[in-house]
Amino acid sequence: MSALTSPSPEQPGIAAAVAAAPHEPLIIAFLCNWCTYTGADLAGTSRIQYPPNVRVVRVMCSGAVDPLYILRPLLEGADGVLIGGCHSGDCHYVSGNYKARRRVAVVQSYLAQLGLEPERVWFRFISASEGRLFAETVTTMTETLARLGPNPLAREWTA
Amino acid sequence: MSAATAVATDRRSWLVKTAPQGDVLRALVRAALASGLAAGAVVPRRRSATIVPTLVRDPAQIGGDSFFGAPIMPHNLANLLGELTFRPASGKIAAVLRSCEYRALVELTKLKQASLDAVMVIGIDCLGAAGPGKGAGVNAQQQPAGPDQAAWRARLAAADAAGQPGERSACAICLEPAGMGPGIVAGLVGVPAADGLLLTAPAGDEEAAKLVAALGDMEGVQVTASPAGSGAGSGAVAGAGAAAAAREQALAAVISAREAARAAVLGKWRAEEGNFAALAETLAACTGCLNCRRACPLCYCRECTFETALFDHEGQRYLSRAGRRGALRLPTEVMLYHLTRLAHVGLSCVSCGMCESYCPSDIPLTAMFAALGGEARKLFDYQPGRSPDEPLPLATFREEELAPR
Ligand code: SF4
Ligand code: SF4
Ligand code: FES
Repeated sequence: MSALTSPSPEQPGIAAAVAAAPHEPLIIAFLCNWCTYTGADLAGTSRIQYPPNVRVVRVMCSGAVDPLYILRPLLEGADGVLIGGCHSGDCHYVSGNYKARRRVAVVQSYLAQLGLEPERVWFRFISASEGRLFAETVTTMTETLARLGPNPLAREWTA
Repeated sequence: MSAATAVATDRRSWLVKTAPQGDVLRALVRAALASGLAAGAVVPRRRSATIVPTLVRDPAQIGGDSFFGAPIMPHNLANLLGELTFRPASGKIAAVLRSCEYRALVELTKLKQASLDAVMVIGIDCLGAAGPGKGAGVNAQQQPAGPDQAAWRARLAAADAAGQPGERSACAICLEPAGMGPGIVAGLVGVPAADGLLLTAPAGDEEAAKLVAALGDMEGVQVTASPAGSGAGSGAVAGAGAAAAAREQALAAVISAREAARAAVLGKWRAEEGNFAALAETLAACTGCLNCRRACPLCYCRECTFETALFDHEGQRYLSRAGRRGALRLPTEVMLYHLTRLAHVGLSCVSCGMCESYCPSDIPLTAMFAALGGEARKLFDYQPGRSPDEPLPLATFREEELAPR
């Protein structure tokens, strides 16, 4: 959770990002080491352009993303959370991605029931070779979040 | 399918009388110990203004202060049975369980924090119970009435279709008052005390048959059996079958009244509390004490993340978080804690209401978990405690479901 663990205003993090560009959506991304993280890396080395709105946290598997990791950034005011995992059948730990899919659905259900757009949480299967798909995903997600507007929880001192 | 609907067809029933009247549950648990079918039993003992769960091995220790099915619930017993069976002993532990305790035990077994196989479950009908520290009123009755005694049965008899309010908010909206379990169930609702205590068990359950036989051998106990499948018959045999039918009818009336109550409570919750702003108001009184997680039979972590140093930060970090939005609620992470708990155990929540009973701030956690968790469970058509064979929804998956594919 690099963005979240860099709290001081001098460091780039949520605080700095929100303060510097209040209308630019901020996305916290949890990317599987074996697929999407490498895909994101590929997008970079291939110089594929995508919006700079995403802060990436590398995880060993999408199945390692506890609901806590999704909820925390949202309560802290991030506009969206992206989880990137291996394609069906490709998870290095066999079923982490399928289990993550259920957990994400549960978190989305709670968010929807509490009136926060579930579209703020994206789960995508993106492989290590799909740098372009990663860039497209971040682009579309950034547009979607810009349309939704800032996360209302960002202003709540009680959240 | 509720246990109640299963009674008539594939279960045997017995009517059991004792002299003095109303000692059947005590005799039953004594028989479980004396026969060696159980190596120990969890016995609620009256002490002061409450009951104390006690692990008993000597049947002679089950005396007048044993208060099975007391209308007081200082714990969800599944929590304690988890401790006793997490690493099970060789013999079984007999326990008289309410439906919410049995269902929690099923969920806890799936979470590998208890062993249903290590428990001899004696299910018992329940129409409501007071929480910890709140049982004094009920308990101050002159007569130390157990649920199979006349005073308690009169209380149950008073529960008509208008609905027994129940002692706690969770009980008032409980749709599963019928005792349930893999074996013996003691049916209390709808059966007059003078007729004895109704016991039912699955037709092929040998352990239950042995237990009832051991019970029948005890002094002062009189057992009348109704063979499997017989709803009608003659004389004594008709008695048990008729009692089972009367119980089902009485339970159905209670359940239908409760359905209306539950719909009203959850509807109100969704309308008034179902948004982040209202939730922040609801949780304003939360002290972050984590009692709710300790009371919850299903909060499965041996150590809760929110008890660790994970959220202990440098002072500068608190200031910077507060600076971002101008102010920051203290203690921090209260909303995060509740949402995380919902995400972890919301699908397994059995609506026992112990979280709310333990809350020093009277936060309506039962409705919150029932409303939010109930909706999320629809994703997987999951009903906690319904079957020990159904996997936990978050521990399983189907390849073709949800998104992405
Ligand atoms: S969350 Fe509350 S109502 Fe649900 S099982 Fe836990 S203690 Fe019982
Ligand atoms: S028991 Fe009540 S006050 Fe304590 S953490 Fe739970 S909701 Fe908050
Ligand atoms: S290893 Fe990539 S999602 Fe499990």
